[in-house]
Formats: sequence, structure tokens, C-alpha cells
Amino acid sequence: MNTAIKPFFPKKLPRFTLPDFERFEIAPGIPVILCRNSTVPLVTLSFSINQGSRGDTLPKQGLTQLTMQVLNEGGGDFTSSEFHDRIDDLGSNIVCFSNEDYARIQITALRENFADTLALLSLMLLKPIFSETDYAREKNNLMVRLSQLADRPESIVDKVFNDSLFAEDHPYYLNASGKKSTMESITLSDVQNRFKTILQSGHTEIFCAGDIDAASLKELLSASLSAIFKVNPVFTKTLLPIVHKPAGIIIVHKEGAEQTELMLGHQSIKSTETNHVSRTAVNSLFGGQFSSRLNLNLREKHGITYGVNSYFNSLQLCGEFIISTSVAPKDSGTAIQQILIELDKIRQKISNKELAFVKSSMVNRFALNFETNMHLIMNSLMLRAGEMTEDYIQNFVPRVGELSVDMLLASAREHFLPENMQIVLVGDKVSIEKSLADAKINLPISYREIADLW
Amino acid sequence: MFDFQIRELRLDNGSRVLLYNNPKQPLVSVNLWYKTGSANDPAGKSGLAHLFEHMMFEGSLNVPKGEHFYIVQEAGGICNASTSTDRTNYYEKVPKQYLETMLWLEADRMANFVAALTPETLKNQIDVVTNERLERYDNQPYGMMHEHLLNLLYPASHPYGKPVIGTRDEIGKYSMEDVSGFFRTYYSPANATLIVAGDYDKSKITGLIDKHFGTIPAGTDNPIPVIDPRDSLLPNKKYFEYRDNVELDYISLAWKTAPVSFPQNIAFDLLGQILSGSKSSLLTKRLTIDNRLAQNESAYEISGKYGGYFIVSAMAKPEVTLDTLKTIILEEIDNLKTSDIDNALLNRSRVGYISYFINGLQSISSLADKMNYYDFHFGNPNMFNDEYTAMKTLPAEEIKNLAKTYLNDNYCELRILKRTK
Repeated sequence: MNTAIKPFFPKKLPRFTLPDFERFEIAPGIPVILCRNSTVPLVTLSFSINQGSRGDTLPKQGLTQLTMQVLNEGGGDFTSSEFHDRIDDLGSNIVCFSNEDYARIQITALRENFADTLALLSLMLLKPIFSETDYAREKNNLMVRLSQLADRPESIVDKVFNDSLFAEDHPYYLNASGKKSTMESITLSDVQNRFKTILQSGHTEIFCAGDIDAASLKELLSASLSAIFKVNPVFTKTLLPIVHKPAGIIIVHKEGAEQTELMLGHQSIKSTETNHVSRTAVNSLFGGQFSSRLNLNLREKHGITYGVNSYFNSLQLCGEFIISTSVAPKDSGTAIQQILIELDKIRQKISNKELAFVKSSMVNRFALNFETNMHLIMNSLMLRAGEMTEDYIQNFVPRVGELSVDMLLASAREHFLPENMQIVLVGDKVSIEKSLADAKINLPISYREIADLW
Repeated sequence: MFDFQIRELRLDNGSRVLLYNNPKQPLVSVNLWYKTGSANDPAGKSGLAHLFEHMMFEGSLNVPKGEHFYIVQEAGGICNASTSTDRTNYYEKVPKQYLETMLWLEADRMANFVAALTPETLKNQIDVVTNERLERYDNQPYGMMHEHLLNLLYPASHPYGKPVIGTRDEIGKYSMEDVSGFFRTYYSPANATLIVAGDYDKSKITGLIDKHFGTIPAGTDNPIPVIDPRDSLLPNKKYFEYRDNVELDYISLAWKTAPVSFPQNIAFDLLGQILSGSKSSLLTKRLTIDNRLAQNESAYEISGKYGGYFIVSAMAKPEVTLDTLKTIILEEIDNLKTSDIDNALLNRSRVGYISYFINGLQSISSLADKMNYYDFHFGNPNMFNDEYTAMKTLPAEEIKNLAKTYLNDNYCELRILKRTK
């Protein structure tokens, strides 16, 4: 064997045929995107309604999440246990959940049981159980979970970071999981009303992937949903202006912390067809994958973390740029120092070698994004109303091919803003302060208390 | 129904090769299992097998440090590795045209790892693993649960007596000789099984494998030590409690079982489902749904080459005592042993498991890993139908007998209590 010779590494674009995204509508104007996949006899379906937790009010934060949680209990004349026995008898899953922007219901079912699963979903939406017992249990579960968040460094850093980015009057300031006080004030009647609003006021879209053809899916969906959705309100959104703050540090003291949990970032515009390829590429080089500059520096050179990553989080009305990692308390300052150095560097210079690498990586990776039902649903979600078009996916590879060093540098300068970095550290306060001083990080510091968060 | 056509080869150097051709997607998965894990860690150096897994990405003779990930990512692929008690796996999934590059990467480190080993790369990865331990265990609520449970279940000398990642005081006590010695002992071709699955050219695949793996010398300087686990069921009850930065108290009861065997592993999975797999599972219903005593609960078996244990855990709601949870857990287990298993619940558990099983067959890399799992434990990579059939037909009596045999009065009890502020 002569391993000194690396085998020929093909540079030409791979031949890959995109799966078909079939579009149709069911009454009353609900768009459906189907991507067939007959690898295994399964069907995955996602209902997406643009009524997420940002529709909550400040005094009732957590209402949407609780509503979806109670909806999970089932429908019809069944008790929750009876309903779930029926789902389990089919080997199916129906999960209701929400995020900032959407209320979602996701179904996974064996092909042979898909129709019966849809019938159960139909019952759930038409006549949700919403019993006092289920409501009380699920509310109690969420409230106990809220009290547990204070134990988890990742949850603390996430919450404080979110608060640092969005002012109190901003839709994304609201905490999806609520606070103990707000959750306490939510009644069963609030839940029932919120559910009605979600169904009646939200624009609904359906994404499906799996072993089913369009005609069968259309027939099944029409039969099971026609009595539930009377109208499908038009999808509207008004993008929010991006607000940047001067860079600053927030320390949250956590008793007995063995590590410092770190999150840095700022508001950012949301992904669009114009900026998505270039900023995905530049983030990939910066902190988006294992071979990124950040990981090579903090992990492979300095050995101060198990891993570090960065990403753009695209919300419906704006976006965020986020860097996160965990380090030993003594390395907190070094980690921030090195991250800021790397931010500065990538805004100054990107090599042709890096450009070639990231183009190759993105183009070749494309084929891996269409393997499983969940991959296909994720891609379909990109095609939701008002977001990307199919043309965008069809032309993704040529768009990557057009990238240049100048485009990546422009993207880095536009989207990575060191002067606006909000830096949150959760850990031992004394060690963090010493470490920041040692690393000569001279940014204004403020403090938050865990007890005040939830 | 799930009969995959798998071609089996044995190279002259002893390496086992399994080939599964599936052109549905233009992807290929390379999945390599070395038959070594934390069970092979030397005394006083727990975590060495896991550290070694990290070192395999630090370069080999022709692949400089950092290049392994770089090359895979340039090919648009994904790669990673994991260490368990018994085995270490390495895998890549790439568009099919990069198959040969992946085979070359794996072959170069199988043949030439030691050539690139330096004190700097060793120190770097010890630092990384130290941070990994902090991030995943020490700094997580309930993060130390399994380590304390292992202490209760096994003597320190047992191959499963220490955590895979290594104990806090032993991580880092590895020398260059430890690492190179571990490689010479456990990373020979004869101690590895390579699976290539996906859309490869059937007429060229054996030639490619022979080109890159066929001429790696078989020889290992060090014979593989034989492990004698000297394991037995617990002779008495064991108890340990500790305080942690957690909001809710937590209890785990664990019973020693047996090394992994088929179809007993499926019977244990079904037993876990019957206790805690759905809202009508015995413990879920009683603890979490009907009486709201627990925030959550779980029941499952972990088994390997040298032993196993069945663990039932529950997290108490505020104001609920762990004694209350323990009483109910033991009552339900006693009921299982003395009464017939409810047929509807059993069928529900079966179909839930089948659905999960089928879901896992979508990805070519998951398929390849499952083939290596079957092959490693049962000497047959194509047991998909056997598993499926066992899930559908395993008699209730066999599941009940498991409970009678293993879930006896001698168990380990671990309690994690809220730290007093």
C-alpha cells in the first residue's frame, strides 16, 4: 500500500438529481408540499401554523407552549390515556409543540397506519380534550421544568443572551417557556382561547415526506381536515429593524459551576435568497464546522474547549448571529479574546484556498441533505410561504459556484460585528472576573441573578 | 422483509469486510469498528480507549493533524467516532465519488498512526477530553449519575467499573507509550471490521479495499489481553446517595443482568417499553400521569460483552419523597413477575418498537452501524429480520421470566438529592 499518495479527489460538481417537491392545495387554500421518499414504509408530516410564542402577552408568557402541550393530550370523546393508547397501537407519533414563530404538529406513522393516524389528528384538532386534569398536570410539568432550568447552564446562558439582544417591547423578548409567575396566571380558558386563535388566525402550511403519492395524500388530508380549517388567512409579515447595542459583558454567577458557559452574538438580518449562500459560506469557515477557524483555534490549538460553534438563527421577523462554547473558568477570558481575534481576522482576510474549500464542502454536502424524511421536511420548511423559492434550491449549487473571496469578505464585514457583541458568561463569578482581567478584556460588565430569570 | 444482501470478505491480514450495495441515494458510508473500548483501559488509566479515539483524528503518516476532518468536509461529508465499553467506531458518509478518499483516510491511520503521534498532540487532546468531561458530566445536573451507578454495580477491577470517558483523577495520566502501545495492541486489521454501504461500483469495490487495506501488515506486536470479568449477580443490596445542584430529587434502581445476547436483548427492550415507553406503560401511568408523583421516569437495559444492567429511574416532583417512588417502582416490578402482562400493552410496546426500528433504517450510515453492531455481538451482520421477528413474536412469558430472573431483591439504589442552599 502506498498511502503517501492521496487518491484522486474529484473536483467536478457531483451529479445529483434533486427530489421533486410536489405542491398542491387543499381547501380552504392550505398549501401542501410533498417530497416522496420510499426508502422505508414511513410517512412524516408537519403542520406549521404561524402562531408561535411571540403571540403571547407579557403577563401570560408561556401560553402558546402550554396550549400545545395540553393539545398533545388528544381529542374526541376519549380520555388522554385512551387517545394515546390508540396512537401507540398504530406505532405512530403525534407531537404538538411551538417555537417563537410557529405552532407545529408533527406526525410520524407507518405507511399502512397513516390514514388512521390522520383521523386521530383530526379528532385532536376538531375536538381537543382540554380537560381540567390534563391541563393541571401539563401546567405543573412546565412549571417544575421552569424551576429546573436554573440548574442548566445552557438554559441560563440562552435566556440571558436572548434578554440582552431584545428589549422588553420586542416580540422576541418573550420567553417561549414563560416565567413561573406568568405560567401560574394562565387558566384553562386561556388555553382554549389560544387554541382557537392559533387555528383561526394562523396561516397553515403542510409539509410531508415519505412513502405516499400526491393523490392519496390530497385525498386523505382533504377528508380529515376540511371540517377544521374554514379559512387560511394570508401569510403576512413585516420584518423588524435590526437594533445593535455596543459590545458588553453580562456575568451570571452560578454556584459550584465547573465550567463557564459562553454565548456571544448580536441581532442580524434574517436569511434571504440574496444573503443565505454567502453568509452560510463565511460562517462555515468561521465557526460552522469542525474545521472552522474558531474550532481550530480554541480546541485544536489552545485545547480550552471540547467544541465551539457559530450560526445564524433565522427567525421569522429578524435573525441572530450566535457563537457558543464551554470552557474551564480560568480560560473564560482567553476564549473571548481568541473569539474576538478570529472575528477581526475573518473580516480582514479570506484565502483562495478557504474559498475553494468552502465551495467544495457546500456543493458536495448538498446530496446529504435529502436522505431521510426529516431532512426532506427541513428542506420543505425553507420553501414556506414568503421565504425561499424552489428556484433557490434548484440553483443552490450554481450560486455557491459564483462565490468569490470578495463576496465572503463583504459578508463577514456585514454580518460579524465585534463592536456589537453581547457576551454572556455563566459560571463562577470570581474566576470569570479574574480571567477577564488577565486577558485584558476591557468591556463594560453587568450582572444578572439566576433567581430573577424565571 | 428486511433481508439485506451483504457480501462478506476476509482479507489476508485478518480484516473482516462487509459490503452492502444500495444505489437509492448517491451516498456511501464507511463504518469501521475496532473491537476495543473502555473495557480494555489499563488499570489506573481509565479513559485511554476514548482518548485514543480522539488521537485517531490527530494525524497519521500521510494525513497531517486536522486534515482528516478537513478532507471529509471538503468532500461535503460527515465523519465522527464514538467509544463504548466494548468497541470504538469510526465513520464517514460522503457523496459516492469520494469513497476511495475515505478508504485511504481510514487505511492510513490503521497502518501509520504512530508515525504522527507527538507529545503536543497528546497534550492537546488530553486538554480537550478534560473539557469534554466537564461539559458533558461534571457541569451537568445529574451528570455524575452513571459514574456513581457503575461504582455501585461493579468493582473497580471489572471492565465496566469505570466510565468510558475516564475518572476525573485518571484522565490525563496517559504517556506516549500508553497511546502507542494501545494502538499496537488493539488497532490491528484483524481486530477491525470494515463496512462499506451505499452506492458504490460493485465491480471495483473489492479492488479498492484490497488496494488500501489489503497490504496493511497483519502483525500486532502485542497480543490482546484476555478479559476475565468475573462478574456475577449482586449478592446483596447496595446504596449510595449524593447531593448535587439540582432542583428535584432522583432515584435509580439497577439490577445486574447478563452480557448481551439475542433475543434476550429484545426482551429487555420490550420490558423497558412495558414499564416506561408510552403513557399507558406501567410506571409512566402510575408515577407520572395518574398520580403526578414524578416529573419523568425511565426503564431500560444497558448490556455489553462482559455484563449488563437494567435500570429504572424516576425524578420526584417537589414534596414527593423518593421512598414513595421506590415503593411504586418495586410494586410494579413485583406485579410484572406475578401477573400476566397485559396483552394490549405488550402489543403497543411491540408496534412502538417496530416503528422506531423502521425509522432507524432510513439513513445509510445508521444501517451500516447497525450491521456492525449485529456482527460484533452475534457474528451475523444481517439480523434485521431476526430483530423484527423477535419484536413481533417474543412470548410474554419470556419477558416475564426476565423480570423474575434478574429483577430480584438485590439491586443498587442511587439517590441524587437537592443540595441544601
